[in-house]
Amino acid sequence: MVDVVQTIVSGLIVGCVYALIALGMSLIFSMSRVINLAQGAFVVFAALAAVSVQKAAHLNPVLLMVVMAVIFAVVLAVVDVVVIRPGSKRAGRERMLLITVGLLQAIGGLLLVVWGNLPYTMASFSNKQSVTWGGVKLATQYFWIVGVLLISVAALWFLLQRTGLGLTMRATAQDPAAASLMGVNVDGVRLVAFSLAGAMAALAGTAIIPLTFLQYDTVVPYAVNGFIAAVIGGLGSSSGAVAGGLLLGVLEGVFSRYTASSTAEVLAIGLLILLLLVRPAGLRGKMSEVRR
Amino acid sequence: MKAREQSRLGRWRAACSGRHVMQESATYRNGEAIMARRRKTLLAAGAALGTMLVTTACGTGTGGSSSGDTYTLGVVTSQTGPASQLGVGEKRGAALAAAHINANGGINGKKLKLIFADDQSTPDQALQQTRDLLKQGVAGIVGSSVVANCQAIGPLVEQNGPVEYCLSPGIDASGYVWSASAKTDALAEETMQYWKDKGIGRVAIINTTDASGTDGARAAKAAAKKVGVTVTKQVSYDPNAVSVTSQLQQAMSSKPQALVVWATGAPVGVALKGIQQLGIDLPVMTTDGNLANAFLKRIADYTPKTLLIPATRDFWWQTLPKNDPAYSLEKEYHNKYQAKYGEQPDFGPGVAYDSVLLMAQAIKKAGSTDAADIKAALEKVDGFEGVVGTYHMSPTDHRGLTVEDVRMVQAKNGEFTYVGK
Repeated sequence: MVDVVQTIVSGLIVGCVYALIALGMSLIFSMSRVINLAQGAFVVFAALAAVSVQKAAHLNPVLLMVVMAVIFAVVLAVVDVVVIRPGSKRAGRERMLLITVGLLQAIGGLLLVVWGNLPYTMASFSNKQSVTWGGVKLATQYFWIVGVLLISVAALWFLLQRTGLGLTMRATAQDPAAASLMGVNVDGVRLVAFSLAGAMAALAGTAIIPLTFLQYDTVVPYAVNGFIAAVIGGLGSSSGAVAGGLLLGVLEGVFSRYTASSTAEVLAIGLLILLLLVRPAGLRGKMSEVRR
Repeated sequence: MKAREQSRLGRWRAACSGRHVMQESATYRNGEAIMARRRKTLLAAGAALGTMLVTTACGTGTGGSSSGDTYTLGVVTSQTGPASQLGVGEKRGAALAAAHINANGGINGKKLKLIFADDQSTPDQALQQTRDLLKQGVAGIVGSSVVANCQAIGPLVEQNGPVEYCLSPGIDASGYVWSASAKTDALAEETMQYWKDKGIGRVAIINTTDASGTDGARAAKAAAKKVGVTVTKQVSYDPNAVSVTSQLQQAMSSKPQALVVWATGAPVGVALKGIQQLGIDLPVMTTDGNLANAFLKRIADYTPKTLLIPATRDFWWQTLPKNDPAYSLEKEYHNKYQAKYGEQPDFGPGVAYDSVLLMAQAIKKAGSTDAADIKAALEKVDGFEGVVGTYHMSPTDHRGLTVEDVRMVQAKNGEFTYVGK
C-alpha cells in the first residue's frame, strides 16, 4: 500500500510541473488564441538560468524564485511583443503554431549554445534527506513544488476573480473582438497573460531542477507533456490545466511502476486519448467551444 | 550518379529545412471548411509537434573524400545529446590517435584522415551519418558511442563491410562489426565477483529502458547467477524520467545489500539523487560509460559513499610495475592527452584511441582499404598493446579483451581510484 502511495505521490510531483506548463499555455490561449507550444521550453530555460544565477549569487530559495519569475515575466513579454504579436497580426492560427514550434527549437538551440550539452542540477532548497510520513518518503523539494503550484493557482484565481484587471482579462478571453470594441486594450491584456505564463514557467523550472537533471534537449518532452496536459484539461480552462497535468503525471508514474517505462508513456497517452473520445472538450473545457 | 546523389541530398536538406512542415499545414488548411476551428487547431498542434520531432532529428552533413595519398576513416560519435559525455572525449581520443599515427610516418607512407560526424545520440542519425560517410568512400567506421546507435549501423555493414568499430562494449560483435572495451558481461562479472569477495550476496538492479540499460541488466543477472549472488529485484526506468524514487523504493523493499544502477549519463544522476533523497546507504555500482570527468563533476554533491565502476587499464595503469611496457605506453598517452586538452582522459578517449590505432594497424597489415582484407587483418591481432588493454582477437572474438582486463575503481572526491580486483 505504501508502495502505491509512494508511486502516486511521485507522479503528482511531476504532474505539478506539467500542470504549471499547461496553466501558462491555457492562459495564453484564452487571451490570444495562440497555442504556445514553446511554453514547456521556458521551464527548462528558466531551470538552467536559475542554476547559473544561483551559482553566481547564492540566493535564498524564495528570493531566487522571485528573481527568476520577474526575469521570465519580462522574457515572455518580450517574446510576445517581438514574435507572437507581430506574427498573429499577419498569420492564421496554424501558422502561429509553426512559429511557436520554431520558438521551441530556437530555445533548445540557445540552451545548447549557452549551457552546452551536459545535464545540470542544483542543490535542494531545504534538507537533502527526505521526510517520512506513514512510510512514504517525501523529498523536501516536493513541498516546494506543490507550494509553487498552489501559490500560482491561488494568485491566478485572485487576479481573475477579484480584480478589475481580471474582469478585463475574462472579458477578453470570452471574446477578444468584442472586448476590443468595448475599449479594452487587448494587446495589453495579452502582454499580462504572457508575463504571468513566463513567471509560472520560471517557478516550475526553478522548483523542479533540484529534483532532477535537465539539459537542452529536455525541452521537447516538457513541451509535449505540457501540451497534452492542457488539451486533456480543456484548453482555456485553468482548473482543467491543473487537473490534466496532475492526471498525466500520476498515470505516467503508475504505469511506469507496473510496466516497462517506455510502455508506460504509451499507455498513459492511450488512456488520455480514450478520455478525449468520451469528452472531446477535455476534463473542464466547454463543449460549445469545441463545436464552435 | 553524383548529380543524382546531390539532388537526393538536396531533397533531404529541403525536408530538414522545414518544407514538409509547411506542406502538412497546407493539408490542414484544405480541410478548413469542414472542420471545427478549435479541433483543427489542436490537430495542427499535434501534427506540428510530430513533425518537430522529425526536424530535430535532421543533422548536418560533413564534406570530404579520400584521395591517393591518404587513408580515410569515418568517426561517428555522439557530440550532442545525452551520450555526449562519451562522444566528445571519443572524438578527442580518435584525433589524438590520428595525430600520433601521422607524426610517426602515417600508414605505409600515407596520411590517415578522419572525417567526424555527430549522431546527436540518436540511432536514426547514427545510421544517416554512416550512410553519408560510406558515400564518401571511408575505409572503415569508428563509432558510435552507445549500443542502440551501433545496432542501428550494424545491419548496414555486417555482411559486406566496411568494418564498424563500435565504441560501446554492449554489442554482440560479429561479421564486420567490432566492439571496443571489455564486454558488458565481463564488467558485470567483475562487479559481482568483487562484491561476493566482500561478503555481499544480495543485489538489486535498476536499469534504464534503453538498449544499454536492458543489455546491462541482462548481463548483471547472468553474472550474478554465475558468481552465486542473489538478484533480489530488478526495476527499470525511462531515461527521460524526472525522478526514480518509486523504482528505488521498490528495489529497496527486497532488502538488497548493494545496488546496480545500469544507465549512462544524466539518468544515473537522477538515480543518484533519488538514492540520496531516500537516504539509502548501500554500495552502488554503475557502468564504465560513466567513467567520465564531466559526470564526476555533475554528481559531486550526490555521490554515494561507495560508488564503484568496473574499469579497464587506462584507469588503473598507475598500479602497474614501472618496467611494464604498458606503463610507459599509458604514461605517454595520458601526458599527450593532458597537454592537448588540459585534462586527464576518461572512458571515451581511450576506446576511440585504441580503435583508430587498431584500424590503422589493420590497414597497414592488409596493405589496402579492401573491407575483407581489413577484417582478416583485424582478426589476426594478437597481443596488441593498447591503452585500454592488451588485445587478442580471432575470427570468433571481435573484441580481444576479457574480464582479466577489468578492475574495480571508486568515484571519490572528483577522481577515480583503484580499489581492487
